[in-house]
Amino acid sequence: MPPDKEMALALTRRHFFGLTSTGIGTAALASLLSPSGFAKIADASADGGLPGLPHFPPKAKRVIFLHQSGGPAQMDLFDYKPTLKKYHGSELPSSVRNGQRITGMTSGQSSFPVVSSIFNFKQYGQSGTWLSELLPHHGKIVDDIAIVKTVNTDAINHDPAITFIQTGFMQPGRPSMGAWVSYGLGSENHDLPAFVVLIVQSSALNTDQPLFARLWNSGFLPSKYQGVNFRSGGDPVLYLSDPPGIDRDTRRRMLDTVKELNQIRETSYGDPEIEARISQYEMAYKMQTSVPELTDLSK
Amino acid sequence: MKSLYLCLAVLAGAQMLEATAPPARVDFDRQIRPLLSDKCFTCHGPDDKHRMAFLRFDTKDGGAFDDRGGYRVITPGDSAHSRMYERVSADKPARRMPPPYSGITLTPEQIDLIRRWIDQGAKWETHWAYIPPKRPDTPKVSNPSWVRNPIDAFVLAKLDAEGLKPSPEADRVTLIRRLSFDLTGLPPTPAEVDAFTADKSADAYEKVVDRLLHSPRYGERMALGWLDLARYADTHGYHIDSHREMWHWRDWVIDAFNRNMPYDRFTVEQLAGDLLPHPTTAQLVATGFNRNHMINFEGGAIPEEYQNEYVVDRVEATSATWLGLTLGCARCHDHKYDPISQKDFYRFYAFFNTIDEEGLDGRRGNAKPILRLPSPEQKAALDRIEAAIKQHNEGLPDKIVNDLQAKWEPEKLPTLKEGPRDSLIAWYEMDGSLADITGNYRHGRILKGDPSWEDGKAGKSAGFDGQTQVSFGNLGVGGDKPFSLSMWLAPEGARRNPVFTKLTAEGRGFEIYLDDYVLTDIQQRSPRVFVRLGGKDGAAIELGARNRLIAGDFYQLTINYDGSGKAAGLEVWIDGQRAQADVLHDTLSGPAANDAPLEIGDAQFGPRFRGQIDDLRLYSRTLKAAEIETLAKDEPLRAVLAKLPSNRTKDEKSALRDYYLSNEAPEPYRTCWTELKSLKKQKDELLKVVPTTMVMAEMEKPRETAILGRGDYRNRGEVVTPGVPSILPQLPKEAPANRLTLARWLVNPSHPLTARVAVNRFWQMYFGNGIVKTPQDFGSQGDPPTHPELLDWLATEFIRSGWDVRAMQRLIVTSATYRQSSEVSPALLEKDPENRLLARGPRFRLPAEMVRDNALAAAGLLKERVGGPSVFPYQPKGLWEEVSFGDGFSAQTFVQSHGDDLYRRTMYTFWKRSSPPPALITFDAPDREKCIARRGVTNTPLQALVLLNDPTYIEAARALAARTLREAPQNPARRIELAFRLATSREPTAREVRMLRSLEEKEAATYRAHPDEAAKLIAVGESKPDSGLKPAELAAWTTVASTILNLDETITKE
Repeated sequence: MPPDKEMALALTRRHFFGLTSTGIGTAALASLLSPSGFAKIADASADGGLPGLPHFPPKAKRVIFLHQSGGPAQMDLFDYKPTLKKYHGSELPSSVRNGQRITGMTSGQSSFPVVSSIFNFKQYGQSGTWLSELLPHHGKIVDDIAIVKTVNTDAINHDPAITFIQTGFMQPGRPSMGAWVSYGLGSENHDLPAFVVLIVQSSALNTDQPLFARLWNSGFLPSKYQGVNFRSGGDPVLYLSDPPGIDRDTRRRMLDTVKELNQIRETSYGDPEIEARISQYEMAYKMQTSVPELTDLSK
Repeated sequence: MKSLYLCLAVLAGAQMLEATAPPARVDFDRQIRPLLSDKCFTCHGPDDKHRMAFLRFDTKDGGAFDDRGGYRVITPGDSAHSRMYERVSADKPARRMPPPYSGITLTPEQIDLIRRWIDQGAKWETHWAYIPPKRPDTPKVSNPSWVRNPIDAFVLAKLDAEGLKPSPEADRVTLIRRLSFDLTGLPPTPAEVDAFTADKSADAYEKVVDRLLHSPRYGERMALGWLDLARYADTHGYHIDSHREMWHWRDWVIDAFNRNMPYDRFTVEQLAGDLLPHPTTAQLVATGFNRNHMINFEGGAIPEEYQNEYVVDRVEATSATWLGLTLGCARCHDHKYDPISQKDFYRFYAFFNTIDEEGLDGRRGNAKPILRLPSPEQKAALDRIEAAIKQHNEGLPDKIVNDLQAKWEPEKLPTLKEGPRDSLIAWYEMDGSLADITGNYRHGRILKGDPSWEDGKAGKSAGFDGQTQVSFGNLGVGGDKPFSLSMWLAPEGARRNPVFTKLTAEGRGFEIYLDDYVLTDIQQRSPRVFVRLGGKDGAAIELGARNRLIAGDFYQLTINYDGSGKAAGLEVWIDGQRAQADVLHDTLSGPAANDAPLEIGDAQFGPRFRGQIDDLRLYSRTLKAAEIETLAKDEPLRAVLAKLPSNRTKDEKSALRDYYLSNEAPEPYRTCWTELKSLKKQKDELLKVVPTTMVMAEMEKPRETAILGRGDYRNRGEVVTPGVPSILPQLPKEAPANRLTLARWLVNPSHPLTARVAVNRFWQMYFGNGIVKTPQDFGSQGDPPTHPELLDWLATEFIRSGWDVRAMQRLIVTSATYRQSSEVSPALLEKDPENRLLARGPRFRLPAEMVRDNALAAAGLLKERVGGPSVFPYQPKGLWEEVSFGDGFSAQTFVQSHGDDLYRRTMYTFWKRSSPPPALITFDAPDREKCIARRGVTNTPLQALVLLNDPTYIEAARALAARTLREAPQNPARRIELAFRLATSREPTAREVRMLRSLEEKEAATYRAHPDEAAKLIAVGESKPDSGLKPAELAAWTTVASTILNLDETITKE
C-alpha cells in the first residue's frame, strides 16, 4: 500500500476508535485489522503495522542485525573455498568473472590472479560446517546458527554496497530494512521504539568507512519508521534527558498541564491528532525511564 | 453502523468519496482506469516485455474491442458478451482474472463496477492529466453569497453534492496566524494581531494578505517546498559526504519568489538559464536546480556509473517537479502503469546528459561545471592580477626561454654535485623496489600489503596507503652513535602518523612521526615533523619542527644526530634548511640503541604510515650543511637533467623550468618569472576565498545517449536523440532539441501538466493535501483529483495571469474556502477525516522549520537575515563524527555556530545528508537525497522529546519567560496571557490561565527551595539570562513557557 494510503488509513483507524469505541462493530473491525489482538490495536499509541501481517504465525520476537562494515571477507570466515587453493596464483578465468566489474582501485592491474584464503578451515559440530581458524568460538555453536552463503551483489564500492544491503538498492532513496519491518509489523512494545540503531565507531576522527543516515532512514515511508539511534555517550536516545534543573516532579507537573490544556483544545477542535499527541507525550515520558533501563548494561 | 461501513470501504481500497455517494454513471477515468492500472496493467499494460495474450488495457487500441475470433474482450453495452466481465466474475479459479497466482483480487464492488461500465457503453477516455485543461464554467451553487471567488463555487458545488455545508469563517486571530505561517512561515506579533482584530474596514483581511505577500519572509517561506523538490543540501551525500556550496542557488530561489518572478521564467531559468542568449550571472546561478543531486568521489568507484546516476536524478527531479510524472519508473523497463516507454525515458535523459561533468568529483567542494561568484572587489583584484599575469607571460616568450634553457642544461649538468657516498650504510632509490643500491645488500622487506610505485621526486617513489608495512632490518642507525637519515617525504592523511620507527615495545629507540595537524583551509590539514629518541622509562629527546607540510607535496627531510644524548645534537632539516624546532623533551638517559628493525608502518606504534617516500639514504655520521643542500637541490635537478627531455614527466619539466628561471636565467627573465610566480600565488589565494556555485553548462562535444538495458550504464542499446514522452505534445520541430526548448515546451500554455502540477502544490501548501493527493504523480497510479474542475480552473487561471505566482497565492488565501474555521464535528470527521471535501479549514502540524522558527520568534531570539552561507545551530555532540570519514575532508566534524547564527531561520541550517539535522528530521523534514514533493506529517514521541528537552527549546522557553517578565505588567495572569499570546497568537481562557498559574506557583516554590536547580535551568543555551531577574522566578516561568511551547496548538496551524 502506498504510504499515503497507509497514512490515511492510520488516521481513519485512529479517529474511528477514538470516537466510536462502543459496540460489536469495533471489536469486529479490530480483529479484522490485527489477528494478534484487540488490546494492542485499540490503544491509539500502539503502532500496529499493516493489517493482515504477519501472514504466518510469527516465531521470532526480535531481529538483531549486526552490520559489520569493513569486516573480514566471508572467504576468510565461513565460506570455505577449497578449490581456490588449487587455482591459487593462476589467472581468474573469464568464465568465472563473468564480466563482473572491477573497482578503479584495481582496474589498472595487468593481471587478476586467483587468491585463496591464507587461513585454515576445519569442520565443526554435527553439521560438519567449515569454519576458519578466525572463528574458533563459533565452532561451539555452529549447529545453532544458520549461515547463508547465497547472497550475491554486483556492488563494488562501499557506499552502494552497504546501501544495497540495508535498502535493497544501491542508490539512495529507499527505506531501510528496519523501516520496512517496523512499517509492516509495527511493534507490541509501548515504551520503546520498534526499530533501534546502534553505531560503533572507534574514534571521533577515524578512517573506518563512513556511514550514512540512509542506512536506517525511512526513505519514502513516513519518518516515524526510521531507526531510532541509541547512542553510547550522553543520552542513549537524542533529547531523552530532562534539561538541567528540571527534575521528574517538575516534568510530571509540566506534562500534566500540557495534557490538560491539549484536552481542552481537543474538545473544542475535535481533531484526533490532538488526542494522538497527548498519548505521544505519555510515551515520551515512559521512554525517559524505559530507555535508560534498557541501555544500562550493568544490570 | 454507517461509520463501520465507511471504514471497511476505505480498507478495501475503494474510493471513499464514491462509497458515500455512488454516482449513477461510472466515470472511466476516475473509477475504471485506476482499477485497470492497479489490477491488470502488470500483464496487460504498457510494458512490452511482460504483456500477455496480446492484450493491453492502457490504450483503447490494445485489442480489447477487437473481434478476437468470435469473441470480444469488451462488447460496449453488453457485459454478458464481454470476455473481460466473464473472466473477472468467474467462479472457477482456473478461469478467473486476475489469476489466483498473481495474488491480485477484485472485490465484488469492483467487479460490479466493471459490469456497469461495460453496460453503460464502455466509454474510453485518455487519462485526464494528458489532456490540456480547459477553463470550466463556475458551477451554480446553493449559497452564492458564500462565494468570494471562483474557487469557492467549485468547492461549494462539491459540498452541495455531498449534502454538506461549509464551516463558518474562522475568528480573526486564527486567520492572521494561519495567514502569517502560510505566507511567511512565522507567527504574527501580538501587535499585528491587535491591529487586525481592531481593523473594521471591509478590506482588513486583504490588507493583511498583501502585507504578508510583500514581506521578504514570503520568499523564504515559498522556497521551503522548492528546496525539497530540488533536493537542496550542503553536502554531496555519497560516501565521505563532504561539503558543497549551493546557497547562492538557494538565495536565488528566495529572491525569485520575492520579486514574484513569473513561473514560466522561473522554470526556464532554472532548467536552461545557461542556454539563454547572453545569460546573466543570476540566470546561470539558477541552473543549480539540477546540480543539487548527490555527487560521489568514492575511491575506486566507476565514473560512468555515477555520471549516469546524476542524469537519472535530474530526470526524476525534473519530471516530478514539472510534469508530476514518475518518469524514473521507466529507467529499467517500460513504465508498468503509465504510457511511458523506456525509450521515452532515455530521450528525456538525453537533455540532461550533455553537461560538462565528471562521474567522480567534489572532493574539494563543488564539482564542475562551477561558476565563480567574486564580489566586486574580488572581481577587480582578479582582473588586475590576470592582466599582470598576461603581461608577464608575454615577457617570457616560449621560444627564447626554451632556447636559453636548452643551452644551459648541458652546461649545468656537470657542475651539479652528488650526494655524499662515504659512510653510507644503505641507499634505497625506491624506483619500483626496496633494493639497497650500495652493494651492501641491505634490501628492505615487505611485511604487509604492498607499496604502490608512483611518480616520485626522482623516478618512482614508494607509496604507503595505511595498510602496508616494510622493514629495513636493524641498520644500526637511530641509536646512540652519530647518524644521519635523509629522504624525500610526501605526507598524507590527517592524524598522528609515524613515518619511521625503530622502537622496542616499551618505546625505547628512534622514531620520526607527523602530528599536530591544523586546518589551513576548509580542506587541507597540515602536519609538522617530529623526531624522538627514547631511552629508558620514557626519558627522551623529542623535537617538533615548526614548518607545516602540505599533504601531497614532497619535502627533502634530513635528520642529523651527533650521539651527544642532548636535544642540541638532534637536528631536523627540511628542503636544505635547518628547521626551527621546539624541544619537547630533553631528558634522555640510558641507551636508545636497540635490536628492533627500522620500519615503516608498524601498527604497534600507531596507524600505519600514509604518504610517499623516495630516495632514502642512511649514513653513519652527521651530514654537513653543504651536503644536505646538495641532497635537497642538486640531486633532484641532476635526476631530471640526466634524463632525455622526451623521458621527463610533466612535473619534472615544470620543476626544471622553475629552477632554471628562478635561479639561473638571465635578466629580465629571472625577475619576470619570480613576479609571475608571486602573481599566480596571489590568484590562487584569491580564488580560494571566492565563492562558487555549481551550474549547468553544455559540453563542447555532447555525449551520445543510448537506451540502457535494465538501466545499467554498461548495457548501451539504441542511440536516441533528446525528446519528450510520446503521450505528451511534441517539441516544436524547428527548435533545437535542447534544455532550453524543453523548458519552453514545459511552460507552453497548451501543456497539459505544468500548470496543474504547480497549482496543485500551492494548494497542498495551504490545505495539507493537494487537489491531487499525489503531487509527484499525476499518472494512472496517482490519486485522481477530488475537484477536477477546480484544478483545471486554477491551472488555466495561473496561465491566464501570466504565471503570476503571488497572485495565485492571493487568490487561494482570499477564498472563503481558505477562511473557514478548522473546528470539526464528529459527524464531519467521520464523513471526511482527511478534509478532502473542504467543508472546514485546514488544521495540521507546522512543518519542521516553522516549529522552531515559531519558538524563536515567540522568545524574541530570532535573528532575521535573508540568505547567506548555511549555519550550525545546536545539535547533540558526536552525530557527524560517528558517520564520518575523519581524514582531511570537510564537513566531517560539527563545529557549532555562535552568536546570531544560532538563531537564524531554520531553513538556513546546514544540511549534511548523511546526518541531517536531527530535530528537523524528527519533524518529518526529508533527508534531501532525492526530490520530494510532499512531506509526511507524523506524530511521534520523539517529537515530544525534542520540544521538551532540546536546548533550542529550553533556551527559547527561558527567553520567552524573560520577555514576559520584562514586558508584561507585574501580574501573573497578565504574564501568562502575554507568553501564551506570543506562542499561540491568542488570549488564553480564564481556565487555561488558572492551570498555568497553578503550575507557576508550584514551580516557583520548587525553585525557591532549590536555587541551584534554577541556576542550571536558566543557564541552558548561549544567550545570557537577564541578570535583572531573580533566578528562581525566571526558572519557574521558564517551565511555564516550556509548557506553552509544547502545546499541540503552538505547533499547529489551525
